[in-house]
Amino acid sequence: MTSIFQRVNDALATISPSILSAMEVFEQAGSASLPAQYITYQLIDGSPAAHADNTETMRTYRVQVNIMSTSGLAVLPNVDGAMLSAGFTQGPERPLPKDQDTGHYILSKDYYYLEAL
Amino acid sequence: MATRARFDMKGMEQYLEAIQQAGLDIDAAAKRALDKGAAVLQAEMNSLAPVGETGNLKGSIVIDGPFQDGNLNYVEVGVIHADAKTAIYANVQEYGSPSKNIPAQSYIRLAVTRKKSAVMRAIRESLKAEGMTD
Repeated sequence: MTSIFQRVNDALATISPSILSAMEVFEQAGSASLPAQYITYQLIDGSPAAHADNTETMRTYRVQVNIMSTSGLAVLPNVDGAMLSAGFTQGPERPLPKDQDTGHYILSKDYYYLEAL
Repeated sequence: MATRARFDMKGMEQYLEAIQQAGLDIDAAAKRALDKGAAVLQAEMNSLAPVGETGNLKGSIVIDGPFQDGNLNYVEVGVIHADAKTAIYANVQEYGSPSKNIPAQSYIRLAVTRKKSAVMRAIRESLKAEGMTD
């Protein structure tokens, strides 16, 4: 079965033009080596959504995707399009404080995925 | 950035109507019910909240309200009246700090996901105790 991490990876890999994305923040020698735009993601929660005969049959995952950009948040990669095409649904989103060290603005977006087990 | 959850009486109209038909004070009943639901959520947030050096975060998760906006009663639960330092810590814990490699340790969103049914159950039970019939 495809893991939720693989699903996010595959979805973000379809963004055109391509943008660097990873589960963890990139290892970097210094802030100067960070790309102007990049994406990180993580799993927030996976909870059972349905059971049959005492067996879990469906599970909902909530993943948080963070889009980092030094040029503001007005023009961003089409993460929604990529995630929705991969079967995710949109959740809430919010801007995070600008990173004072690297100059990146950050938009954090939540997505849900309902997995039939 | 919200480090709080807000919920209201939407979806409970039929129960509230039953209370009204019984001649009871609908707003007072709704507020008491919201209090019960909020307590469930607050307990879960407290159990999930990460404990740092000061432990201030756990003590800062409070229930605010219930409030009334027109016909709608609602309540908020979360880090609402905290000092600036705790508020920033609360945000970083909930959403992480992606560029600083700090992962989110969600205690607001997770509590809502896990306790959604329990909150609604607590609200329904409270309304039942007010005289609502199934």
